[in-house]
Amino acid sequence: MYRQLSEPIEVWARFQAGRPRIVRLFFRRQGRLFQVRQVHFYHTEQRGEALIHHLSVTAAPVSLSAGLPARPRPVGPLRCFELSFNAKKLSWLLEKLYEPE
Amino acid sequence: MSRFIFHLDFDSYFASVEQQCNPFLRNRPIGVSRKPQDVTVVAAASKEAKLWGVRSGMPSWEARRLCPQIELVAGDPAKYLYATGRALALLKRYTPLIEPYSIDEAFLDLTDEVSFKFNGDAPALARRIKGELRRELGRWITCSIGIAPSKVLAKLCCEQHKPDGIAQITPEELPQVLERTRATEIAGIAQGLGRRLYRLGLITLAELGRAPIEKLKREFGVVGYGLQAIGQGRDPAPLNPNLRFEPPKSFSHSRVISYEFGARSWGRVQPILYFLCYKIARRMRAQGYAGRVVRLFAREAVGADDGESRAVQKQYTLALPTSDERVILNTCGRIARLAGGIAWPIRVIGVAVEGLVRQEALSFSLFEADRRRARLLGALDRLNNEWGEFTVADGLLLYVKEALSWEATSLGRQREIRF
Repeated sequence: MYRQLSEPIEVWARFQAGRPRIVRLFFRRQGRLFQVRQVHFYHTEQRGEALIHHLSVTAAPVSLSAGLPARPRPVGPLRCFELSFNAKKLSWLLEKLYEPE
Repeated sequence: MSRFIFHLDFDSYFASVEQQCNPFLRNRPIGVSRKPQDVTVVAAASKEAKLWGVRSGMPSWEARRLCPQIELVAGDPAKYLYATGRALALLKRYTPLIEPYSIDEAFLDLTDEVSFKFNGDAPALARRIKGELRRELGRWITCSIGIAPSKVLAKLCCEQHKPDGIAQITPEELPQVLERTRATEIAGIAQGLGRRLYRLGLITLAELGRAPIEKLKREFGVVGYGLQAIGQGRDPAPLNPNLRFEPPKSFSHSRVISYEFGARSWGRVQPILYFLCYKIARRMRAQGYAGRVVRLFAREAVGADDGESRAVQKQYTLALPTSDERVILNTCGRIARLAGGIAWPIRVIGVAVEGLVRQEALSFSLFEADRRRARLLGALDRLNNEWGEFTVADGLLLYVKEALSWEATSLGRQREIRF
């Protein structure tokens, strides 16, 4: 089942040079760094004047002890999250976490 | 030239979107509901859950009894509306003649596209549309497409080939299809109407089409013309791409109430009703309308001896049009007192406001209290428009606050889907 979190998170994105394309996306939660493996669905929602971008993703915790290698090694299982970006406040939230029953 | 009407219907829509979002839900029986923890209704069941007999609209306890491993997830209407908007925007590349029918269904007139670009091969176009939708939305969100010379038959054809199907009724096949299809298989001909047709000896569509119009008019009034058109494979109402631009005839909201909630008295359902009135009034003000006729409807939870629960509806006409939720609620209270005779508990409650006029056409109130109330509502609307729904709300709504996340957006409002 889903757990509603609405936690502010720190997000790092690496963009491809010259193209509006994110090649790597990381976020930090409870001291652990998660790498987004796949964006499964994207949608937007209008909350008042703010446009909220939602990303349904699967991500796994990774270790970056040796800097940022090309393929960080996962140190935990893949999990499903919903991230949101508030385009008015320019802030990221971890909206939901899915915990298999 | 025969028309090529496409009926596109997403399969297990809300559940498919949830499965697209979350790979852990794929290939598993899931149901989308308002509040999975509570006793509620399954708004949509996944294809896997349907194999166990779970159906949309089924109470969650019954779904769990039929399929103990079913997982219920909370629905997210914003997600579904967005996906529908994207799908309709994609379809608009093929034709401007689109009539959204509900959040997961649309009719398209693709006669020109099929005739001139696909050399009459309508299924080839349907395959291309399905492929593009899959790329746009994700491969777990599938749809079925029915193709026929009329909307009614396209919908019938689509429903018979779900999930993920493509089917066509050609003009040559039409007579056989009308001969073998029972009238009650058509959307809009429910059991009550079906029984009346059966008593007249009209069972199949072809029999309906051959019936003399005087007979149908005598029995069904003007509806008889529409029934005969359906029986002859014609549309009683042609595809209308401008439907969503036409002014609304009414604003309404309803809600299914769980048994556990115990809607046993007027006082118990009043907060829910106020919430429905609030949503209606807010939409009316946003679109610049006010209405004079308030209609209250309810369905009793427990049926009488014949097993069918009774639906009751009454209306009241106000002296002046309103778009104030308090006035609508008070009118509902008046209707409930005047109507009486309802057997509590109730299962469904709904409100509609009709007799609409544009707010600009209303005269300025002479009473300061009315003007103050209008200023207050305007200020609240501005706050909620800027900061999000329910940033400031009436205290009575706190009783239904837990429902707000789902209820803030209502489904089935195809007029309000942007594409």
